[in-house]
Amino acid sequence: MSTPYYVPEQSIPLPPPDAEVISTACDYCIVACGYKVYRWPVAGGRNGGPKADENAFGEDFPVAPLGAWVAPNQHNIVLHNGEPHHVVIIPDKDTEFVNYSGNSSIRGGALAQKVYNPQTPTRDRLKSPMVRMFGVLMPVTWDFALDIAAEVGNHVLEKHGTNAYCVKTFSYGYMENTYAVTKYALRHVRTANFTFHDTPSDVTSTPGFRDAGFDNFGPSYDDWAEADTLMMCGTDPYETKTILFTDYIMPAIQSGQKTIFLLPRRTSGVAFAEKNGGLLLDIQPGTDLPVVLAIARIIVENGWQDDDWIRNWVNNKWESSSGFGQGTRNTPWQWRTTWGKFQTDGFDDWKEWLLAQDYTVPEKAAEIAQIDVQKIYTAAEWMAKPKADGTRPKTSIMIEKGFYWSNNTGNTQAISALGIVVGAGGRPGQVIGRAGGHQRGGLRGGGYPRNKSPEKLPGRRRRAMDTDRYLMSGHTRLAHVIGTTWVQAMCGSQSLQAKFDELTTRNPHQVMSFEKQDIIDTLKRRADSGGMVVWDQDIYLVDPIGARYADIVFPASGWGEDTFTRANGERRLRLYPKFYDAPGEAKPDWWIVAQLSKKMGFEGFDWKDSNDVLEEGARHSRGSRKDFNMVLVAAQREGKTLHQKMGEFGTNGIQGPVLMREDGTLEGTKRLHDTTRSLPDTGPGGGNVFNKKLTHFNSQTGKCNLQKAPWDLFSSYWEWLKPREDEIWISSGRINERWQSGYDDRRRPYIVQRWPENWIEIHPSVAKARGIESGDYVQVYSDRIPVQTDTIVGVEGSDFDFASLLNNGHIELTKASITAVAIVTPAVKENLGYMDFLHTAQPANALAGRIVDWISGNYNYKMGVGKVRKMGESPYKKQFRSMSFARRDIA
Amino acid sequence: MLDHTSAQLDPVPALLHQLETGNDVIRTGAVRALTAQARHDGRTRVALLAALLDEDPDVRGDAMAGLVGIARPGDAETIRRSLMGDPVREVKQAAVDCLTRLKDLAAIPLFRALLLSRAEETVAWEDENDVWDDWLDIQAAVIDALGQLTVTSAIPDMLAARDDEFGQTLDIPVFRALAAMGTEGAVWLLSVAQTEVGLARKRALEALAKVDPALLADQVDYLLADDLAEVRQLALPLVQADDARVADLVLNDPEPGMRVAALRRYGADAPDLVAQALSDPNETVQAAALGMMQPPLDPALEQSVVTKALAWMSLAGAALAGASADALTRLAPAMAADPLMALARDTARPLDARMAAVAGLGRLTDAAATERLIALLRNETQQVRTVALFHLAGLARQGDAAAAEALAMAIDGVLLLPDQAVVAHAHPAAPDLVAPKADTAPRGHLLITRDGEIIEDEGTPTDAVAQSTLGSIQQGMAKTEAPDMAEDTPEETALKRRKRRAIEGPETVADDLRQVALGVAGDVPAPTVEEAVLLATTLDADSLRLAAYRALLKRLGTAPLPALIQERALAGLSDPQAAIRSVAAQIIATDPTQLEALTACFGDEDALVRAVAVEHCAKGDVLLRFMADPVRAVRHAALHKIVATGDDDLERGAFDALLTAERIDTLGEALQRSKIAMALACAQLSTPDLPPRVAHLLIEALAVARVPQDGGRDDLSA
Repeated sequence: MSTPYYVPEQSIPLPPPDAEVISTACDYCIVACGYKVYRWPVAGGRNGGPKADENAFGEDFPVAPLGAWVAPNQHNIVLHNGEPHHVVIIPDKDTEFVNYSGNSSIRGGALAQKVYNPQTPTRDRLKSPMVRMFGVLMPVTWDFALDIAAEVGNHVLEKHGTNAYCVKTFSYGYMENTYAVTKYALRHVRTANFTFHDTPSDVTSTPGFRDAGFDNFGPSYDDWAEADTLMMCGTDPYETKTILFTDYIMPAIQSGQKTIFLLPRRTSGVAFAEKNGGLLLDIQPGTDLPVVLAIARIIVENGWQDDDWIRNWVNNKWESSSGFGQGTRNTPWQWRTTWGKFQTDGFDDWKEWLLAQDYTVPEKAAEIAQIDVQKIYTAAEWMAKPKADGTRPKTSIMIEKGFYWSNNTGNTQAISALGIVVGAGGRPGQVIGRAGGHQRGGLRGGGYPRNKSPEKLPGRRRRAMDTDRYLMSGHTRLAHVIGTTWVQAMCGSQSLQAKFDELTTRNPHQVMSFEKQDIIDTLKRRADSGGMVVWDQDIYLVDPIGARYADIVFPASGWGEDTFTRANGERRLRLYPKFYDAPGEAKPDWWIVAQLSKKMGFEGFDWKDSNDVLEEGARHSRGSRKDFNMVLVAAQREGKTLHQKMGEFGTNGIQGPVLMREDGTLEGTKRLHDTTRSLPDTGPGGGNVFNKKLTHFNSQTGKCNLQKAPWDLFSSYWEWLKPREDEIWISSGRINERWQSGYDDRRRPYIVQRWPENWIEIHPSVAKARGIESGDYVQVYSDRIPVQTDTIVGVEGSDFDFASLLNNGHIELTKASITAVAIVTPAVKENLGYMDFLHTAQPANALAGRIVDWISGNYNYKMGVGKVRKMGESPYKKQFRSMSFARRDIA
Repeated sequence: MLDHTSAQLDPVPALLHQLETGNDVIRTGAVRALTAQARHDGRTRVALLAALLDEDPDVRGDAMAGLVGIARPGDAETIRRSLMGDPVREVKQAAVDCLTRLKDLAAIPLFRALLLSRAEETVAWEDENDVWDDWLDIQAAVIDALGQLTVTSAIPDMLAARDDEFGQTLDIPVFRALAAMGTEGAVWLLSVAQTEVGLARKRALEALAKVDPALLADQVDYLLADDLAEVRQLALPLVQADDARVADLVLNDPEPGMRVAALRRYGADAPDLVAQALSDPNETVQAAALGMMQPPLDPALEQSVVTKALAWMSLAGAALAGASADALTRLAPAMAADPLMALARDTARPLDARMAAVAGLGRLTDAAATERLIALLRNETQQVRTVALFHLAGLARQGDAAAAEALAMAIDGVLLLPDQAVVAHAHPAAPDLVAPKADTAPRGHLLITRDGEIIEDEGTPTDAVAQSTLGSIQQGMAKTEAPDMAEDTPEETALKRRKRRAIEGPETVADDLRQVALGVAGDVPAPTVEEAVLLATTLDADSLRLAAYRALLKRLGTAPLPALIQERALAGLSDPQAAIRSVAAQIIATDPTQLEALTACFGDEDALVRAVAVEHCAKGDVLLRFMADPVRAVRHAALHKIVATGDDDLERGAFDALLTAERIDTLGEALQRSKIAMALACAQLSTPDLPPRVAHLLIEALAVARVPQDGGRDDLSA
């Protein structure tokens, strides 16, 4: 008999006193809590005992609640140097930063379940390279697979040019890997057909921040807690960055912090905030900009803006013009600050523009967003109205994907302006930044070859290539996909998938041989015939990019399987040491890329281990928010490797950029743009880089650019898209229990039981009109999903506005349909359906338009529409054992 | 065909005009179009030089890239000024390349300055926040340049730059440059090799070896004594087969990879060393040695090798077990069958070794060879079945009736009894039980199967004490209430779980066997197979039907189509699955008498179906309407036919249609293949007051109308 129910293990062994202890950090969300791995051999049965002197914790068991207790999910058995070892992976109770209370989220608390053990659901980890022959993936040796990949790759480069060679990769999977991948793709292949997992083009996610001069991850976690007023846009940190909420924001709220959420959905975090006097601006999707500017308008109309701050830190007319605010001539983003649509001559000019826009009138903005206008007034008061004693509230602003993936350029410009007006930036508790999604493991091994991109728009430098559109147009002949689902993660995913089918499985040239040269010749013929070959590199076989389309599968290793380095959302760098053997023949991504590169004839990939990679890459971190070059300098002076030096910081890590003091000791950076920080008057010594953003903002003058945020650059799309007849908005996001595509969660029985399928939250009025109840299966579908066609001809700026694209025949309407389990709840806006963002079987992105923000090149993933109809009852509706339809917006 | 004069086919004047008058989008296109169409034309060079002062950085970047290889010595000063004055990285990089190719000695001081610093007093850069990255690229470029120009006086500076602990890792460019400088550079490389350690030293030696291996001849002992295997490997080409050190290299080098390399290099001349290598402690070396064993062998040795191979097939890892299976087939085919079958069937053994065993079985030629392969068709492992099918198909093509019959049955899906169609796995049936989850007592009463199913452990007594709150609740519930849905949810259907299977699977043997058999053996020329394939085209399952149609396509001989195939092909044209329709269309297209049926496919919603129809039966003006097709493959098919007709009017029509449809890629193809189209483009571009959009289309088409020449001039159409 089968049952879907999870029963936890009843007992697990305690680590003995002599267990090895390895400091690491969580693999999941941006917070990156510190963890410890206790490891000891299975052989000999030397487990720890319940008395303090019998276990590694030095605790008498049972311990008090929240003590050094080990949950069953925190234990596993792994191979270490080929021998079975116990591992217990628990939050570091001794860490001073991040999860300073020893707390963990539901994700990190189960880290031990992600490690490979063939007796658990991780058994299907990829263990061997595979090549598809006769339609079947067959295990082969590394040399066999790499020889094919190298020869076909070189053929594509020689015959079809570098842009026919696409590399689509994760951006966060540790700096050793991202350095190797980008060195291969950008420095050696030199393709413009390159991008990361969450965007069709290699472009900034927050153009408004870039223009204003804000780094995405300037703030420290303490800053969020120290704010008197905290505005959170497009995110509920409880759902997605749990410890940041529970250990920083929750205590602050309980101590009186005024909290404002800008979301179309009431979540657990929102409920907690509201219970403690907080506010939800429950806008409808895509209407953030008018609401944000309306708040700004109230502030300036009342004279509540931070005049001192603006005077000192905002470019005035002369400063804006001199160097065009954003730097010397011709920088890739400079056009935005000189284009006429965004730049201002300073505060007064901006204010004049703001007051002239009708959509910034609070009542008008409230009408567009369908919210109570009083909330806008309240938000403005909380954020900027001076207190009775004349002091200003310390206000901080946090944004994340729900916000910047709704109206990418417009929203980020608007929030930057609001942040500047309230003085958020560069002071404790007064900051603006991204909350973050995944950890920050990017390290560039090569510059993007912008000059090879076809995306030339008038008046501006070439924008990075839209890799999806390039593929749709049939130009991509080889796709090397590294650690991403690609198809489901992009917008309009069902038509994208159809094109993948056309170019791969439906091409006449399919491998029907076991012979290496036959395979190579067949794959070359496919590429030459207009088709595409696919290499997929991942830890699990992903459907469809690996299971269906890949001609070669490279098995990758991950967290705990090699020694890696990464930073969190406050730039805290930590070492993630190897503590167990990767399954089978799986290898780290840097190794795979290095071997492939060597076979392709590229030099400089002869690293012997991951430390070699990072030591080479360290120099390339200079000037970045993660600059750790001085850690390498210190390590070399001390006769250590960089990894050894990084490991010395333990779970506390060190915050980038890292500077070296005169005495050779290292100093981290609590926050960027820190106007309260003093650097040595003598300037940077040795190899230190005193980047401007240490103490100033990221602009030519070091001051902020206060920019306009025109609604009409986006409104034609929004107006066309907004629900018609019986459509509703379809948006998506994360929930606490599932991480990203659920690649680990699908292998955790409890999570599978809790969230067996994708779901959609709909409002009771929508449900009632369609006869839907919680637990019903519903079809979510649309026949007007706009996608850009594969050719866009434009010579004037206006040619690229959505309305013009539509008029010129460059927008095609496609269809998509997915299924979900209905959750009827008043927590969502009345005309909104809200789904899990990357359920690979039923991806919500299928309903989001494949239309890039024409300024930035990003997708607005959160903007979809569709219809909902009942299909029947799901099994979960009445048995109350799997899923839950209880409200989540209860504190 | 009209005879066009060279003037009519000369786009340069019009492009030069657009370069003067167009906006930045048009100007970048014009620069690229000039480079693509008239790279070696003197007018192009002059225009590109002038474009180096364009206000748009992309125009300047493209212009400098276009000058690489065509600039003349007299242009060097202008290019140098750009290197100094233009802040854009791409311009600088191309400028360094240009000047190097020109062997511009006047640029050397500038190169040397950029080697050591950003030289901000003379060189302009973009926004200072990104300067670090930009300079890294330029620094590497000038090092290469100094090497190519043999500026030996710059060697100390290059070494200093490499030693800068705050700079980037410059081993590769510096060593490459030193290697390019001949003896003087080689001396420094040797010095690095003798004084440094690790990667740097290895890289120095590699650079040296690439330039002049003879330089290493005196260093063989030194290299062989090195701790790094990669360095020792550099000595291999310098050690002759009769060298006394060979045995030591093959048998005693501490690095298995090195022993394998030595074995491969010297093994053919030293069979005794190969035999000794069979006793190597490393399986990879043993496998390599085994692979080199060729009959005839000394009987005693052969007996020893066979005995070892038999043991290794049972015990060794994937490489050695696979090599053993292969060796056994070669050395002792008469006694290979049973052990190979045992290995092929043993799910606890590495899969690649099992596949090697099946391949070995496929090479055996005894009377039972076919039957053994047939037996493997019911093996639970998909890859084993596939290899068996492949060899059976080979036998069937050689006239083996039993093999053909088995293939037909496999395609029919009737090979197995119904109760054998699905292989049931006992839980927890993971094939590689290398790490038991616990060394303590059983830990629960539920288990997770290899497919991710969560199932109850029947071995747990039902009256066992509950092990959790949930367990306690469950104990109080009737077992019959539990729905069987773990395997039926959309995310966790059996189909989906199968896709999560990395190596083996799927477990539903019959359907998978049919599908793979259709692909592997659907074209076997046996009547029984043909009958089975035809039947499979009527199946309900889309994937099987598609495989059957693909098999049918592969079976085709000369037209006209046999009646049964024709009937199925026509039925396939109206199949709801687009993939099937496109294959059916390809089948129909092979029979000239049936082409009319394809005309109905002109309006098919699937592009590949349309492409087949257009390719085979569209004519005359009908072709023109496909110039506006949204999919490039269809446009390409139509254009191909139009150009092949040699009909001037059609080519004109195609040009007009592509211009109207704004399809740059196909328009570019038309310009490349049709003089008429090219002449029309040149004429249009010369038209006064040409609308910018039209100019843009034509210029971009001209820019992509050539195959990329150097990997850096890509098809930039989007």
